[in-house]
Amino acid sequence: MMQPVYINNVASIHPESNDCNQPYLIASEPDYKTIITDATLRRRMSRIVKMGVACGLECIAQTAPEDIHAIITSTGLGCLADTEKFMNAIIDNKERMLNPTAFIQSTFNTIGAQIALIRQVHAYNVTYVHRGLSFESALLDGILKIGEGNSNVLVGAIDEITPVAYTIQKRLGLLKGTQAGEGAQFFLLSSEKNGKTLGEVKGLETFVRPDSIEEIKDKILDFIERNNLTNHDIDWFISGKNGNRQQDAIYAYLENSLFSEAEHSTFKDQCGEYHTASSYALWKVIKTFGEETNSARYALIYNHYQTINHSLILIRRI
Amino acid sequence: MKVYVTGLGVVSGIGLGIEENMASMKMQKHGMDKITLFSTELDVPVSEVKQNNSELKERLSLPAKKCYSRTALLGMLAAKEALLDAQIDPASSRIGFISSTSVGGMDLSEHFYSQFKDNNHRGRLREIISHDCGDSTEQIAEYLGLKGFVTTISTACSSAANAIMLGARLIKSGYLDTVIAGGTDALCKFTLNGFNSLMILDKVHCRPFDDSRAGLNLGEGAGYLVLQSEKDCHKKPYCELSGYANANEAYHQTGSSPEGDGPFLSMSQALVSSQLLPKDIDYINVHGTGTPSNDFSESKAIKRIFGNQIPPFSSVKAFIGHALGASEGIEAVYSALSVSRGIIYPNLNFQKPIEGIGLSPETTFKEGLPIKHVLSNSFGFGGNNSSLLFSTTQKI
Repeated sequence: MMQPVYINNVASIHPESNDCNQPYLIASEPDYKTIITDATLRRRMSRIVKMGVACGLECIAQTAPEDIHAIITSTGLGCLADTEKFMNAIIDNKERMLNPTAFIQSTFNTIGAQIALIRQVHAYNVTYVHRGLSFESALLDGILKIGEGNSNVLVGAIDEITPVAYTIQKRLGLLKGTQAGEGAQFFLLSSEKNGKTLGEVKGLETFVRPDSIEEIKDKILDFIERNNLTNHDIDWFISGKNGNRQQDAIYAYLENSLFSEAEHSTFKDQCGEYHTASSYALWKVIKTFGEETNSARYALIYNHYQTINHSLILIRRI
Repeated sequence: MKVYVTGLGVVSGIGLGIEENMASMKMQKHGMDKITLFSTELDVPVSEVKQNNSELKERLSLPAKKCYSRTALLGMLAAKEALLDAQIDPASSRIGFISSTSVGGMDLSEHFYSQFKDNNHRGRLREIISHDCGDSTEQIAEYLGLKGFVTTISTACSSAANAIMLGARLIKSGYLDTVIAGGTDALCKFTLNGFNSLMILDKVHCRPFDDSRAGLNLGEGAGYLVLQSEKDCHKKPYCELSGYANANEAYHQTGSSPEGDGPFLSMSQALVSSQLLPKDIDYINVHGTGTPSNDFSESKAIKRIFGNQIPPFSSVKAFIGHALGASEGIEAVYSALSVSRGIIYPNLNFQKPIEGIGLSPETTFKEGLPIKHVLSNSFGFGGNNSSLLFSTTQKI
């Protein structure tokens, strides 16, 4: 399909325990002081911005700014808390004397921009905001960038949950049997392997609104074959099951048909459901590849968001 | 591999469609007026698309009762024009749709939120379902019957340039044969108040590149290009997308560097990517928002690159306002027409060059000029700077 794309570093800030006081999963955040050292800058940042910036900085901590050839971020809903804050201010203050900080930071590209600013990376910088395909779009751009001759590309995903977003998602019926979540994951894609390389992105495919479960199966088979493999080569199948019985039926069907020989895993029980949750699955695969206990050669992540946005990420162990 | 522009579609405060936009340009008829779309305490001129949502739905033959964000409606109109113009079959899986927006369905969300805020059981759900930026993109794709790759980009004011750039790269890498790329944004209270809080809105008609400039006027609209590889090009293209670059200024979240480092990077890298020299450029469609800092730093960058041989340049923002995520979609359409029809657009409200800079933009509409290469700039919050280069087609 393409020239090799290696994952040479990863970072994640994600939920680590199920806080019983909350109806959704909240990321367990690090002490940001040591990562985002500028106190003034840090103070202006909302939770999602801190989470994303810290995670991105951690991922490129060992890479010189001139060696980073692109910063590509993604988010389904962006900086929600800042958006709500500015909306409240517009209403409460009747459009007068508003503080611009929340507005500035509510912009979708804030996290990618702040990483560039802090590390002085003048390279290509872009942000994807397409629902359940936001992260996959960023990953695709990263793959293109490597294919265009760049050596190191930072690709990341960030989404936050807020009480308002939770209430709205619940009213919309998006959380039936499902727990909402959040998190930040960043990946350093590279054209060259090094001693720390744990995985290679072998393939990526997205599709929207398939007509039937059979069409999904065909698309997956076709994708695997295009990568010169068969479904028997996939020894680890990671699915986006989220507890919604109807939506999970698609995954169960694939587990029992195409991937009956593979090991099966889920991830949304750990990170919760959000637009860019598949980035957590990729992080988990790479992390697990580093452990002795796992021997899988090929891992396939299949995720769909509300049965509309579907994605396949194929990873080879190095 | 070359990437050709074979279809154009545009909706702005100065008209629906290419011909209305060009006619307004020719007559120097701008789109600024008072805000009518929503009630607001702010009294600033904006460039609204003159049709309300009901009129837009009627034009699109959409059910009057169904709820659509204005962002989606404006996008549908422009993307439809581009698709028809290029004469392509939307059902092909090798066609992608890449759209950009800065606020998505915020025009509806803020109405929802005003009712939801004090009582979480209130607010109509159909007004919040289109909040995310991907909604308008999927609505447009569905309306046009596009079934292939879709995605959405949001990098503030340079969003649409980045959508166009991705489209070209997906074609060059062989992922897709045809891409409809551009952006759409509707005016809303959120952005109007946001820009007002930054104190960069001019209370009167904006004056890009004029010494007295005092800020920008916001606008709305949508603009899309159909990009195709040579083998899929079935009609005479408008021009070629010969180069592009995206660079980050990494200077300040909202401000521009005094020496124009970001614009310098994006313009010079776009030149390199198209293998052109500064002397080859016949016209620059500048970002030219009319804010003191943008126009100053953009001027500095132009002087650094072009020295004392500065090509004709102008900002169209005094016509259409700053349409944010749609801005470069609209202006890329204008730039493609600049190449194919030899047009230079007038920069309205210019009287006196910026002190210490001394650059004078073009102030009259010119047509039929031998224009070969046009550079188009867009710069956004977060130091996200992009430049596109459009050139005459040699072969086809």
